Amino acid sequence: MDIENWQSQLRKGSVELAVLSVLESKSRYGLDILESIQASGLDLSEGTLYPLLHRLSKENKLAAEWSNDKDASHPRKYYKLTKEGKTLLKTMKQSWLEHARTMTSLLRVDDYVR
Amino acid sequence: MSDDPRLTAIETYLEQLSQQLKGLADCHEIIHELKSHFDDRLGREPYLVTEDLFKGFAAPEVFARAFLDTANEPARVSSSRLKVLMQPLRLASVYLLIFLTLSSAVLKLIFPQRVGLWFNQDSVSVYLLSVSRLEGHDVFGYWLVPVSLIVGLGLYWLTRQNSMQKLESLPSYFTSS
Repeated sequence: MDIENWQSQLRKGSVELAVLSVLESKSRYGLDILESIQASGLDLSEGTLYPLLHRLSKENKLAAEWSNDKDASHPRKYYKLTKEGKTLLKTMKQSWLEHARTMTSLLRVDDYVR
Repeated sequence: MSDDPRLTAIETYLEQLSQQLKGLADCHEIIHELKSHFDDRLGREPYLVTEDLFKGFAAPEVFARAFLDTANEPARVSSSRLKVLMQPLRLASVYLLIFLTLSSAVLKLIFPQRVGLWFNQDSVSVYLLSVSRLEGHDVFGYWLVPVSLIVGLGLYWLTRQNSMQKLESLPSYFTSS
């Protein structure tokens, strides 16, 4: 089995949840989202993030707005969760936690048997 | 063009990406956002080298593909919805065709001179039921009865055998010709 491919698939499956999750508390712009996720240890690139933000906006999960921040000489595009986005995040979180619980339990049982 | 090679690289990259995204409604918005991203990065890391600046980006044509793929999704959804809406209409067209074919067999027995494929010197005409007696040569004659029955029942059997995919193309073929 190609472990790198498996790890990559695992990351891909969690990126959408990670993006929605960092937008739960406040609205953020692209680089801010990227750095927040990277800081948590998840490997995410611009090449993945921006098309994902684009898709989530098209699907009405995110709403975007341009803003002129004091600390920047250029406008930034801020994203925030829509009502649909919040519902999706809630559902994804529940699914993720259930899956994590199942896997954790399964792996512990496996260790115990050995 | 700027003296800073990084700004030149950004300009070139965004220009190439813009070419690839041509036709996408929010092309300008995407380019504007990425320009803002690069400005932010250079603002935070003034000595960032070009290579690191583009580390997370794919080649313009590959990166553009990711946006174009997501843009096509709603179109695919609406197209499949249209298909679903069209399905009952297509099914109704096929059943109408079966009904007309079988009716012609029955009507031929009752009104032999008013039903059929008629040919005369001026034209060839198909009549399900003519108001008046038809003049000229009746191509099938009473053979219309078994032919219509075979075609009509055959179509019905094919429909029942879940051969809808083939049959669905029939109405559009007739309407387009």
